Amino acid sequence: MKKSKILLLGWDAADWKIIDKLVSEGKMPALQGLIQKGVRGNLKTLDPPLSPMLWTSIATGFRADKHGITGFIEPTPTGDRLRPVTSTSRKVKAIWNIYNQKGWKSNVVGWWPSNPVEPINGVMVSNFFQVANKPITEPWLMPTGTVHPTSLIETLQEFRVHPHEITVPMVTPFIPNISTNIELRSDKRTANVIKTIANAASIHAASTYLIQETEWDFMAIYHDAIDHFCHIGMRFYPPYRNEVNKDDFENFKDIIEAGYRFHDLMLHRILELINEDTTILLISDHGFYSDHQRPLSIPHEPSGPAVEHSPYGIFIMAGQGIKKNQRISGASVLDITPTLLYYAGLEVGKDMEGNILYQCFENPTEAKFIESWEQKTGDSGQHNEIIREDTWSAQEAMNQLVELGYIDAPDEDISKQITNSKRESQYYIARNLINGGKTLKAIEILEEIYHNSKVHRYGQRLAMCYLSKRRYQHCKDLIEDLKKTRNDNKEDYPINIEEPLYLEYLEGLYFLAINRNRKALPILEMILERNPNNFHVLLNIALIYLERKKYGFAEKYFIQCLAIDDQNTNAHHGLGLSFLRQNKFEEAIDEFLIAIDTNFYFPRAHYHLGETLFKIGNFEDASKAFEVSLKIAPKMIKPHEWLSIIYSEHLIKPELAERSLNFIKENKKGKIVILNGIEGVDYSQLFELLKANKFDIQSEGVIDLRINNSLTDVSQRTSLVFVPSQLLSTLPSFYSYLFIELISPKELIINELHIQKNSNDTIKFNEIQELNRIDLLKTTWLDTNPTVSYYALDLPEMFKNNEEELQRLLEFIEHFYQSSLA
Amino acid sequence: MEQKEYIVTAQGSLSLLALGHIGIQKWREAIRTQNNVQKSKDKKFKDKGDEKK
Repeated sequence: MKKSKILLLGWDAADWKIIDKLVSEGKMPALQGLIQKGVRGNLKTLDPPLSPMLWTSIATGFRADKHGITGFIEPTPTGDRLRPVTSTSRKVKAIWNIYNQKGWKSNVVGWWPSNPVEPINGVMVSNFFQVANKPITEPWLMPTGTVHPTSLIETLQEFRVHPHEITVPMVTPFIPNISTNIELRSDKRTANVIKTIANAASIHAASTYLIQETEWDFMAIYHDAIDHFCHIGMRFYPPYRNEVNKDDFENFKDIIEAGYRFHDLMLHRILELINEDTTILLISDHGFYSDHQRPLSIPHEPSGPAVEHSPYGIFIMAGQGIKKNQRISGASVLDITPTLLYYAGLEVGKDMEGNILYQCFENPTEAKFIESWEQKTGDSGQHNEIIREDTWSAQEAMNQLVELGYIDAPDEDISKQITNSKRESQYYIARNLINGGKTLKAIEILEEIYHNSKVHRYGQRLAMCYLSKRRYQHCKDLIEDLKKTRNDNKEDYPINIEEPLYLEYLEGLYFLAINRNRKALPILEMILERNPNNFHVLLNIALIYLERKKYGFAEKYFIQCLAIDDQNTNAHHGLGLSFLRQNKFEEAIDEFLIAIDTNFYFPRAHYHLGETLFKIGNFEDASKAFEVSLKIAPKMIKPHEWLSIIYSEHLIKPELAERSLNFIKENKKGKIVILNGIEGVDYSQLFELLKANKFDIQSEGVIDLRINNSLTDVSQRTSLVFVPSQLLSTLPSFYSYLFIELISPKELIINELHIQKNSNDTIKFNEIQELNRIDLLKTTWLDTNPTVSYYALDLPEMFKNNEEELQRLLEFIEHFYQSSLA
Repeated sequence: MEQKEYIVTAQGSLSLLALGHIGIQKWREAIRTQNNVQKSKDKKFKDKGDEKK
């Protein structure tokens, strides 16, 4: 690909909802022009949506556990205080370091975090550049490490704008009443707006100077002003909400719009200064809720304001070889660095966690890859190893020296503050790991920090991890533990905030996970009554109705979900499915297409689109939809079943039909129901009950691996297998399993152990350990077999109330036999 | 690049800030000019006062 200049422009928290409104009103003409010249789309953020972590992911292609920027603050290397996070904590190369190795000249302005500046082949102006640390009457010194090369300090410092220089006409677009209302001038919110204008002007001035006066191949500019304007003024953004003070609304309602329009003016100038051969990327790291999803209050917890961040930022790319005036989908903040490397014709690191956004390019070529840029030697312009360090590890080393008595301990309060910050940083890493699908690693971290602190947020997140890893007993125990301490834990939510009822929500999800929809539904409905805008509760209720085949109710709740978040893939897909099952095909197609637009890599939306198109007789497009679902999830069997029919009976492509049939033959698995529970309990009563209630169990179909049967006896004819946890890992992989866990209350387990031991002694420690070991074997097997269906069967409960419990079990087994991978 | 003309006042404006480093240079020039004019006005006023005395 031809090398052109690249300008990466970052607008923290910029959001399509506001931009689209302003563009449609003709209030952001520069941005409108840029959108028309290139591609646009959503940019999915990561969790937690905290800017220093996200902008480092953008610049590196790695998540926080790899790149090392884990929050807003870090301890100083001496461990005696905390400081804003610095560039020395970044453990991997940024895009400008890789370009540096290839001899490219880069300018980087304001990136978060970039202080101290790196000695790159170009110019770096750090995120401390614009911060006015003294009143205007005192000399405004440039902090150490702000500008590279230092020869530019004198020139660039003249372009900084001090907040005290900002004049009334500059503030008037943000706060129109400021010219007449003198009191407003001393308002804290006005002061914050003024500071943000000054900071943005400083960053912009340094940028225009460097664009115009230096040679560069790549330039990255970061503005935090939209995020700041939004945190100051989103409460007051129209439409008016009753909870907001009316005078405040009148005074501050224009902050957001003025902030965006100011950015459009700055963009206009940038576009004037760059050449036609410059490719521009304009992105944001997350969005910002601007509608009814705006929280009424901010949690009193570290990084609490991030609750206002929404999950999609903006992505615009325009330039040579880029498609014009088109929308793309499926982009994530992790994709920026791989895409920029690809665009520059350089190798993409296989270890990077994002993808190349091929969909942006008119004629995409094949990408080149290397294992990793980290081992590649050459002048990368990074800090040297001595400066680069893990400050949290440095803090540990400091603690050791304190413990040994070599140095004095820092002040107790500071020490506590550092410990809490480290824990918080671990929490962010855990959330980042969960977001990246590494839940087991996250569990290890969360177990440790929750155990040490009993902070509810950590426990709640841990309970969610247990649920996702099907460690239901752990989850249940943790919920009980959290309930015991909920009144002691006031950290999480202030009294005046909308009560999230998080524990009840967890409990509802727990019941859902163990297939107790009837118990989950009233809990979720109770939460919904108190929190009518809780998207996740609504979504789960809708999914329950979908599963219970009450499609009309499901439709109603999915529509409510979309009234809150009209960009949610699962809600559009669920609504589409509700329509499909009610034979409302046109509506279903619309919803599946929107689901695909919001997340292209969602195979079930393509699959169900295919099914709907098939049903209206559009076999050509149906085949395409099924093929796309297979490109995303090649192991799905159901699309092949449809494709075999389409290719053999409608499109008459026998070779393709044959391909699908072969795939089905090779991959379609038999289905077997597994029973698992404490050994020693007699389950014959259960078998009898099942037999007596229509479940077709042939005597040769029941295998109990605890007694004289062996694994080789398991076959397609088997209906039920009792498998002790120790043997789960030896089950053949060519069957699909329904895992029915026979849950017994702890007392029953203990009684059984007593009976087995024929003793009245208390349970010994090693016996409990043995129980834990067996439990671990079970959870490990479930972890490594995520497609196994799970059902928790409470035996004593079933025998007490056998008709309803039994009916539910039979329905579940029937559903298992009828369901498929799609 | 197309040349445009701007009227720069000491009060400044968002549009001026959006011009980047050039805008800031011109704005500060305007402030300096205004300050000089003010100083010379003050001086003339002071001189007239002295003459009257």
